[in-house]
Amino acid sequence: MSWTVFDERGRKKLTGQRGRDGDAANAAHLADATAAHAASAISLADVNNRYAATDVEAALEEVFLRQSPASAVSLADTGGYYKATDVEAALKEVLGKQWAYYEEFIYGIGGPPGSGPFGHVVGNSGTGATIVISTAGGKSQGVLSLSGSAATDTAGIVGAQIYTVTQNNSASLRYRAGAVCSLSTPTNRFTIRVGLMNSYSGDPAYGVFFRYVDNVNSGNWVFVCRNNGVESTTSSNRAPASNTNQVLEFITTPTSITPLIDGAAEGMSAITTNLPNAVLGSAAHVTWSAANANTNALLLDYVRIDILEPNGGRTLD
Amino acid sequence: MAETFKQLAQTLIPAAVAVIYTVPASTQTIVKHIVVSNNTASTVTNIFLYHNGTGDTQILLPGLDLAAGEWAEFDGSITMAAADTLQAKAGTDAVLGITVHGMEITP
Repeated sequence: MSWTVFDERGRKKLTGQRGRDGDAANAAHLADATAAHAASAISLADVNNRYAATDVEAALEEVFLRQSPASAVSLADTGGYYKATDVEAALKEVLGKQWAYYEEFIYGIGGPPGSGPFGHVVGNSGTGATIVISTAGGKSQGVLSLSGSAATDTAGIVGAQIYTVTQNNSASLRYRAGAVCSLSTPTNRFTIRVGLMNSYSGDPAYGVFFRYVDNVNSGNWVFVCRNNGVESTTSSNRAPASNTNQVLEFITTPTSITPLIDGAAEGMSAITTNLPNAVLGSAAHVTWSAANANTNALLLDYVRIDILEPNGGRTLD
Repeated sequence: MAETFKQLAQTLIPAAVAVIYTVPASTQTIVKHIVVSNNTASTVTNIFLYHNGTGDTQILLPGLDLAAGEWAEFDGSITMAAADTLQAKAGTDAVLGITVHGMEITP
Protein backbone atom coordinates (compact mmCIF):
# COMPACT_ATOMS: atom_id res chain seq x y z
CA MET A 1 0.00 0.00 0.00
CA SER A 2 1.19 3.52 -0.43
CA TRP A 3 0.38 6.95 0.86
CA THR A 4 0.86 10.07 -1.22
CA VAL A 5 0.96 13.54 0.30
CA PHE A 6 0.06 16.52 -1.85
CA ASP A 7 1.00 20.13 -1.10
CA GLU A 8 -1.36 23.08 -1.37
CA ARG A 9 -0.67 23.26 -5.11
CA GLY A 10 -1.49 19.63 -5.70
CA ARG A 11 2.10 18.58 -6.21
CA LYS A 12 3.26 15.28 -4.79
CA LYS A 13 5.47 15.67 -1.75
CA LEU A 14 6.36 12.11 -0.94
CA THR A 15 5.26 8.59 -1.63
CA GLY A 16 5.39 5.92 1.00
CA GLN A 17 7.63 8.02 3.23
CA ARG A 18 7.23 10.77 5.71
CA GLY A 19 9.55 13.51 6.80
CA ARG A 20 11.31 16.40 5.13
CA ASP A 21 14.46 14.72 3.89
CA GLY A 22 16.49 16.55 1.33
CA ASP A 23 18.40 14.98 -1.52
CA ALA A 24 20.25 12.13 0.19
CA ALA A 25 22.82 11.86 -2.58
CA ASN A 26 23.71 15.53 -2.38
CA ALA A 27 23.81 15.44 1.40
CA ALA A 28 26.32 12.60 1.23
CA HIS A 29 28.38 14.49 -1.38
CA LEU A 30 28.50 17.64 0.69
CA ALA A 31 29.43 15.70 3.81
CA ASP A 32 32.41 14.11 2.06
CA ALA A 33 35.42 15.98 3.42
CA THR A 34 37.98 13.93 1.49
CA ALA A 35 37.19 14.65 -2.11
CA ALA A 36 37.91 17.88 -3.95
CA HIS A 37 34.72 19.51 -5.07
CA ALA A 38 34.10 21.81 -7.97
CA ALA A 39 31.14 24.11 -8.17
CA SER A 40 29.95 22.16 -11.20
CA ALA A 41 29.71 19.03 -9.06
CA ILE A 42 27.01 20.62 -6.93
CA SER A 43 23.54 19.87 -8.15
CA LEU A 44 20.46 20.37 -6.05
CA ALA A 45 18.16 18.27 -8.22
CA ASP A 46 14.49 18.94 -7.84
CA VAL A 47 13.10 15.70 -6.50
CA ASN A 48 10.03 17.43 -5.12
CA ASN A 49 11.49 17.45 -1.63
CA ARG A 50 12.32 20.50 0.41
CA TYR A 51 15.97 21.13 1.01
CA ALA A 52 17.11 21.40 4.59
CA ALA A 53 18.84 24.64 5.50
CA THR A 54 22.09 22.78 6.10
CA ASP A 55 22.09 21.43 2.52
CA VAL A 56 21.67 24.89 0.97
CA GLU A 57 24.21 26.43 3.32
CA ALA A 58 26.80 23.77 2.58
CA ALA A 59 26.26 24.11 -1.17
CA LEU A 60 26.80 27.88 -0.98
CA GLU A 61 29.92 27.39 1.10
CA GLU A 62 31.37 25.02 -1.48
CA VAL A 63 30.90 27.52 -4.25
CA PHE A 64 32.91 30.20 -2.49
CA LEU A 65 35.40 28.25 -0.52
CA ARG A 66 35.88 24.54 -0.68
CA GLN A 67 34.68 22.54 2.27
CA SER A 68 34.35 25.45 4.63
CA PRO A 69 32.31 25.31 7.81
CA ALA A 70 28.67 25.72 7.00
CA SER A 71 28.28 27.83 10.13
CA ALA A 72 29.22 30.93 8.13
CA VAL A 73 25.82 30.93 6.46
CA SER A 74 22.61 30.64 8.38
CA LEU A 75 19.28 29.85 6.75
CA ALA A 76 16.82 29.33 9.56
CA ASP A 77 14.75 26.28 8.89
CA THR A 78 11.27 27.74 8.85
CA GLY A 79 9.76 24.50 7.68
CA GLY A 80 8.77 25.92 4.30
CA TYR A 81 10.20 26.30 0.84
CA TYR A 82 13.09 28.70 0.48
CA LYS A 83 12.15 31.79 -1.46
CA ALA A 84 14.51 33.49 -3.86
CA THR A 85 14.94 36.30 -1.33
CA ASP A 86 16.11 33.85 1.32
CA VAL A 87 18.76 32.39 -0.97
CA GLU A 88 19.79 35.88 -2.12
CA ALA A 89 20.28 36.96 1.47
CA ALA A 90 22.41 33.91 2.14
CA LEU A 91 24.54 34.62 -0.94
CA LYS A 92 25.10 38.20 0.21
CA GLU A 93 26.03 36.95 3.64
CA VAL A 94 28.68 34.66 2.22
CA LEU A 95 30.02 37.35 -0.13
CA GLY A 96 30.22 39.79 2.74
CA LYS A 97 32.25 37.41 4.86
CA GLN A 98 34.87 36.40 2.34
CA TRP A 99 37.75 38.28 0.80
CA ALA A 100 40.85 37.44 -1.20
CA TYR A 101 44.47 38.51 -1.46
CA TYR A 102 46.12 37.94 -4.81
CA GLU A 103 49.70 38.49 -5.99
CA GLU A 104 50.52 38.02 -9.68
CA PHE A 105 54.15 39.17 -9.33
CA ILE A 106 53.76 41.58 -12.23
CA TYR A 107 56.20 43.94 -10.56
CA GLY A 108 58.37 41.33 -8.91
CA ILE A 109 57.29 41.09 -5.34
CA GLY A 110 54.47 43.58 -5.60
CA GLY A 111 56.46 46.75 -6.17
CA PRO A 112 58.85 48.08 -3.51
CA PRO A 113 59.94 45.47 -1.02
CA GLY A 114 57.42 44.99 1.73
CA SER A 115 54.53 46.25 -0.40
CA GLY A 116 51.89 44.41 -2.41
CA PRO A 117 49.01 42.47 -0.94
CA PHE A 118 51.29 40.10 0.92
CA GLY A 119 54.10 42.47 1.85
CA HIS A 120 56.71 40.12 0.43
CA VAL A 121 60.36 40.89 1.06
CA VAL A 122 63.39 39.13 -0.31
CA GLY A 123 65.53 37.13 2.08
CA ASN A 124 68.35 35.70 0.00
CA SER A 125 71.53 34.34 1.48
CA GLY A 126 74.72 32.92 -0.04
CA THR A 127 76.72 34.11 -3.01
CA GLY A 128 74.58 33.01 -5.90
CA ALA A 129 70.95 33.38 -4.88
CA THR A 130 68.83 35.64 -7.08
CA ILE A 131 65.18 36.51 -7.44
CA VAL A 132 64.11 38.17 -10.67
CA ILE A 133 61.06 38.69 -12.81
CA SER A 134 61.00 36.14 -15.56
CA THR A 135 59.10 35.17 -18.64
CA ALA A 136 60.17 31.57 -18.24
CA GLY A 137 57.69 28.77 -18.14
CA GLY A 138 55.80 30.19 -21.09
CA LYS A 139 54.46 33.13 -19.10
CA SER A 140 54.37 36.52 -20.78
CA GLN A 141 54.86 38.34 -17.51
CA GLY A 142 54.46 38.05 -13.78
CA VAL A 143 56.59 35.07 -12.83
CA LEU A 144 59.05 35.21 -9.96
CA SER A 145 62.21 33.20 -10.66
CA LEU A 146 64.24 31.87 -7.72
CA SER A 147 67.73 30.75 -8.70
CA GLY A 148 71.02 29.81 -7.01
CA SER A 149 74.47 28.40 -7.73
CA ALA A 150 76.27 27.66 -4.48
CA ALA A 151 75.79 24.95 -1.91
CA THR A 152 74.94 27.48 0.77
CA ASP A 153 72.51 29.56 -1.30
CA THR A 154 68.95 30.27 -0.30
CA ALA A 155 66.62 32.27 -2.50
CA GLY A 156 63.49 33.17 -0.65
CA ILE A 157 60.62 35.57 -0.05
CA VAL A 158 58.47 35.97 3.03
CA GLY A 159 55.43 38.20 3.35
CA ALA A 160 53.95 40.01 6.31
CA GLN A 161 53.12 37.57 9.04
CA ILE A 162 49.41 38.18 9.47
CA TYR A 163 47.69 34.89 8.80
CA THR A 164 46.67 32.40 11.42
CA VAL A 165 45.11 29.05 10.94
CA THR A 166 44.19 28.15 14.50
CA GLN A 167 43.74 31.39 16.39
CA ASN A 168 40.67 32.89 14.76
CA ASN A 169 36.91 32.79 15.03
CA SER A 170 36.36 29.60 13.07
CA ALA A 171 37.57 31.25 9.87
CA SER A 172 38.60 29.17 6.89
CA LEU A 173 41.51 29.96 4.63
CA ARG A 174 42.26 28.67 1.15
CA TYR A 175 45.81 29.07 -0.11
CA ARG A 176 46.79 28.55 -3.73
CA ALA A 177 50.08 29.08 -5.50
CA GLY A 178 50.97 28.42 -9.10
CA ALA A 179 54.47 26.97 -9.34
CA VAL A 180 56.82 25.45 -11.87
CA CYS A 181 59.71 23.59 -10.27
CA SER A 182 62.92 22.25 -11.63
CA LEU A 183 63.99 18.82 -10.42
CA SER A 184 66.84 18.54 -7.96
CA THR A 185 69.53 15.84 -8.39
CA PRO A 186 72.25 14.39 -6.16
CA THR A 187 74.81 16.79 -7.62
CA ASN A 188 72.43 19.73 -7.77
CA ARG A 189 70.31 19.20 -4.73
CA PHE A 190 67.92 21.81 -3.43
CA THR A 191 64.79 21.84 -1.29
CA ILE A 192 61.75 23.90 -2.31
CA ARG A 193 59.20 25.13 0.23
CA VAL A 194 55.99 26.97 -0.77
CA GLY A 195 53.18 28.02 1.58
CA LEU A 196 52.69 30.01 4.78
CA MET A 197 55.78 30.22 6.97
CA ASN A 198 57.60 32.48 9.38
CA SER A 199 61.15 32.25 8.04
CA TYR A 200 63.16 32.75 4.84
CA SER A 201 65.00 29.46 4.70
CA GLY A 202 64.95 25.90 5.91
CA ASP A 203 62.09 24.40 7.83
CA PRO A 204 60.37 27.20 9.74
CA ALA A 205 59.45 26.89 13.38
CA TYR A 206 55.83 27.46 12.32
CA GLY A 207 54.37 26.82 8.90
CA VAL A 208 51.97 25.16 6.50
CA PHE A 209 53.73 24.37 3.25
CA PHE A 210 54.63 22.00 0.44
CA ARG A 211 58.18 20.65 0.47
CA TYR A 212 60.17 18.96 -2.29
CA VAL A 213 63.64 17.46 -2.64
CA ASP A 214 64.62 14.62 -4.96
CA ASN A 215 65.76 12.17 -2.26
CA VAL A 216 62.64 12.33 -0.05
CA ASN A 217 59.34 10.57 -0.81
CA SER A 218 60.76 9.45 -4.15
CA GLY A 219 60.93 13.04 -5.30
CA ASN A 220 57.21 13.68 -4.71
CA TRP A 221 55.75 16.63 -2.85
CA VAL A 222 55.32 16.35 0.90
CA PHE A 223 52.79 18.53 2.73
CA VAL A 224 53.98 19.78 6.11
CA CYS A 225 52.48 21.42 9.19
CA ARG A 226 54.96 22.66 11.79
CA ASN A 227 54.19 23.98 15.25
CA ASN A 228 57.12 25.18 17.37
CA GLY A 229 59.53 23.00 15.43
CA VAL A 230 57.47 19.81 15.52
CA GLU A 231 55.95 18.68 12.25
CA SER A 232 53.23 16.46 10.89
CA THR A 233 53.43 15.44 7.26
CA THR A 234 51.43 13.71 4.59
CA SER A 235 53.15 12.37 1.48
CA SER A 236 51.80 12.82 -2.02
CA ASN A 237 52.33 10.63 -5.05
CA ARG A 238 52.85 13.65 -7.28
CA ALA A 239 56.23 15.04 -8.26
CA PRO A 240 57.09 18.45 -9.67
CA ALA A 241 57.51 18.38 -13.43
CA SER A 242 59.81 20.64 -15.39
CA ASN A 243 57.99 23.28 -17.37
CA THR A 244 54.65 22.18 -15.96
CA ASN A 245 52.58 24.53 -13.84
CA GLN A 246 51.10 22.99 -10.71
CA VAL A 247 48.60 24.56 -8.34
CA LEU A 248 49.68 23.89 -4.78
CA GLU A 249 46.67 24.36 -2.52
CA PHE A 250 45.54 23.84 1.04
CA ILE A 251 42.35 24.62 2.89
CA THR A 252 42.38 25.28 6.61
CA THR A 253 39.91 25.16 9.43
CA PRO A 254 40.95 25.77 13.02
CA THR A 255 41.33 22.02 13.52
CA SER A 256 42.46 20.56 10.19
CA ILE A 257 44.30 21.43 6.99
CA THR A 258 43.61 19.64 3.71
CA PRO A 259 46.20 19.75 0.92
CA LEU A 260 45.54 19.44 -2.81
CA ILE A 261 47.71 19.50 -5.94
CA ASP A 262 45.89 20.64 -9.07
CA GLY A 263 42.65 20.14 -7.19
CA ALA A 264 43.29 16.52 -6.24
CA ALA A 265 44.40 14.82 -3.03
CA GLU A 266 47.18 12.90 -4.86
CA GLY A 267 47.53 10.48 -1.97
CA MET A 268 47.62 13.15 0.75
CA SER A 269 45.36 13.30 3.77
CA ALA A 270 44.16 16.13 5.96
CA ILE A 271 46.48 17.00 8.85
CA THR A 272 45.02 17.59 12.30
CA THR A 273 48.14 17.69 14.49
CA ASN A 274 50.96 20.21 14.88
CA LEU A 275 48.89 22.92 13.25
CA PRO A 276 50.94 26.11 13.56
CA ASN A 277 49.76 28.22 16.46
CA ALA A 278 51.42 31.44 15.28
CA VAL A 279 51.05 34.18 12.70
CA LEU A 280 52.44 33.24 9.30
CA GLY A 281 53.28 34.97 6.04
CA SER A 282 53.15 33.95 2.41
CA ALA A 283 56.58 32.47 1.69
CA ALA A 284 58.55 30.53 -0.87
CA HIS A 285 62.20 29.57 -0.79
CA VAL A 286 64.76 27.30 -2.34
CA THR A 287 67.68 26.08 -0.23
CA TRP A 288 70.67 24.42 -1.91
CA SER A 289 72.74 21.66 -0.35
CA ALA A 290 74.87 20.71 -3.37
CA ALA A 291 76.62 23.25 -5.55
CA ASN A 292 75.63 23.68 -9.14
CA ALA A 293 74.21 26.59 -11.06
CA ASN A 294 70.47 26.29 -11.20
CA THR A 295 68.39 28.94 -12.81
CA ASN A 296 64.66 28.94 -12.30
CA ALA A 297 64.75 26.29 -9.60
CA LEU A 298 61.34 27.67 -8.65
CA LEU A 299 59.07 29.79 -10.82
CA LEU A 300 56.30 31.27 -8.71
CA ASP A 301 53.41 32.39 -10.91
CA TYR A 302 50.95 33.67 -8.31
CA VAL A 303 49.82 33.40 -4.75
CA ARG A 304 46.20 33.72 -3.71
CA ILE A 305 44.55 33.49 -0.33
CA ASP A 306 40.76 33.39 0.14
CA ILE A 307 39.42 33.86 3.63
CA LEU A 308 35.92 33.11 4.85
CA GLU A 309 35.28 34.77 8.19
CA PRO A 310 32.00 33.56 9.71
CA ASN A 311 31.98 35.97 12.63
CA GLY A 312 32.91 39.14 10.82
CA GLY A 313 32.78 40.71 7.44
CA ARG A 314 30.81 43.45 5.78
CA THR A 315 27.16 43.80 4.92
CA LEU A 316 26.35 43.98 1.24
CA ASP A 317 23.46 46.01 -0.06
CA MET B 1 -22.85 -13.00 -1.13
CA ALA B 2 -23.27 -9.28 -1.53
CA GLU B 3 -20.53 -6.78 -2.31
CA THR B 4 -21.32 -3.18 -1.58
CA PHE B 5 -19.01 -0.35 -2.59
CA LYS B 6 -19.68 2.54 -0.27
CA GLN B 7 -18.39 5.38 1.76
CA LEU B 8 -17.32 3.63 4.95
CA ALA B 9 -16.57 6.71 7.07
CA GLN B 10 -16.47 10.46 6.85
CA THR B 11 -15.70 12.57 9.89
CA LEU B 12 -13.34 15.07 11.50
CA ILE B 13 -10.33 13.46 13.20
CA PRO B 14 -10.31 14.03 16.96
CA ALA B 15 -7.33 14.85 19.15
CA ALA B 16 -8.00 11.83 21.33
CA VAL B 17 -7.83 8.56 19.43
CA ALA B 18 -11.29 7.35 18.49
CA VAL B 19 -12.93 4.77 16.28
CA ILE B 20 -14.04 6.13 12.91
CA TYR B 21 -15.28 2.85 11.41
CA THR B 22 -16.21 -0.59 12.72
CA VAL B 23 -16.82 -3.55 10.43
CA PRO B 24 -20.37 -4.76 11.00
CA ALA B 25 -21.12 -8.26 12.20
CA SER B 26 -21.04 -11.03 9.61
CA THR B 27 -19.24 -8.67 7.26
CA GLN B 28 -15.82 -8.39 5.69
CA THR B 29 -14.51 -5.06 4.45
CA ILE B 30 -11.84 -4.07 1.96
CA VAL B 31 -10.75 -0.46 2.38
CA LYS B 32 -9.66 0.90 -1.00
CA HIS B 33 -9.17 4.64 -0.60
CA ILE B 34 -8.58 7.06 2.26
CA VAL B 35 -8.24 10.84 2.07
CA VAL B 36 -7.07 13.00 4.96
CA SER B 37 -7.22 16.71 4.18
CA ASN B 38 -6.13 19.85 6.00
CA ASN B 39 -8.40 22.67 4.94
CA THR B 40 -7.18 24.97 7.68
CA ALA B 41 -4.61 27.76 7.58
CA SER B 42 -2.18 25.98 9.89
CA THR B 43 -0.09 22.84 9.99
CA VAL B 44 -1.65 19.91 11.79
CA THR B 45 0.86 17.53 13.24
CA ASN B 46 0.95 13.98 14.53
CA ILE B 47 -1.80 12.50 12.40
CA PHE B 48 -2.20 8.81 13.16
CA LEU B 49 -4.37 6.11 11.64
CA TYR B 50 -4.66 2.65 13.21
CA HIS B 51 -6.11 -0.71 12.27
CA ASN B 52 -7.55 -2.80 15.10
CA GLY B 53 -5.75 -1.22 18.02
CA THR B 54 -3.52 1.73 18.88
CA GLY B 55 -0.15 0.10 19.39
CA ASP B 56 2.88 0.43 17.16
CA THR B 57 2.01 -2.77 15.33
CA GLN B 58 -1.42 -1.38 14.39
CA ILE B 59 -0.21 1.87 12.82
CA LEU B 60 -1.29 2.57 9.25
CA LEU B 61 -0.19 6.22 9.19
CA PRO B 62 2.66 7.06 11.58
CA GLY B 63 2.56 10.64 12.78
CA LEU B 64 2.21 12.57 9.52
CA ASP B 65 2.28 16.38 9.43
CA LEU B 66 0.07 18.17 6.94
CA ALA B 67 0.65 21.86 6.25
CA ALA B 68 -2.18 24.20 5.40
CA GLY B 69 -3.92 23.09 2.25
CA GLU B 70 -2.19 19.72 2.03
CA TRP B 71 -3.79 16.31 1.90
CA ALA B 72 -2.76 12.68 1.99
CA GLU B 73 -4.26 9.89 -0.03
CA PHE B 74 -4.11 6.16 0.42
CA ASP B 75 -4.66 3.79 -2.49
CA GLY B 76 -4.48 0.10 -1.84
CA SER B 77 -6.31 -2.70 -0.09
CA ILE B 78 -6.75 -3.07 3.66
CA THR B 79 -8.68 -6.21 4.52
CA MET B 80 -10.82 -6.12 7.67
CA ALA B 81 -12.87 -8.79 9.42
CA ALA B 82 -16.07 -8.35 11.37
CA ALA B 83 -15.62 -6.04 14.37
CA ASP B 84 -12.28 -4.73 13.14
CA THR B 85 -11.85 -1.00 13.58
CA LEU B 86 -10.19 1.98 12.01
CA GLN B 87 -9.09 4.57 14.58
CA ALA B 88 -7.57 8.00 14.12
CA LYS B 89 -6.22 11.00 15.99
CA ALA B 90 -4.48 14.29 15.14
CA GLY B 91 -2.59 17.03 16.93
CA THR B 92 -5.45 19.51 16.46
CA ASP B 93 -8.95 18.43 17.41
CA ALA B 94 -11.71 18.17 14.80
CA VAL B 95 -10.16 20.15 11.93
CA LEU B 96 -8.93 17.42 9.57
CA GLY B 97 -11.46 15.65 7.40
CA ILE B 98 -11.08 11.94 6.75
CA THR B 99 -13.08 10.00 4.21
CA VAL B 100 -12.84 6.24 3.76
CA HIS B 101 -14.18 4.30 0.80
CA GLY B 102 -14.26 0.60 0.24
CA MET B 103 -16.34 -2.54 -0.13
CA GLU B 104 -18.37 -4.42 2.45
CA ILE B 105 -18.92 -8.10 1.76
CA THR B 106 -21.77 -9.93 3.36
CA PRO B 107 -22.85 -13.56 2.97
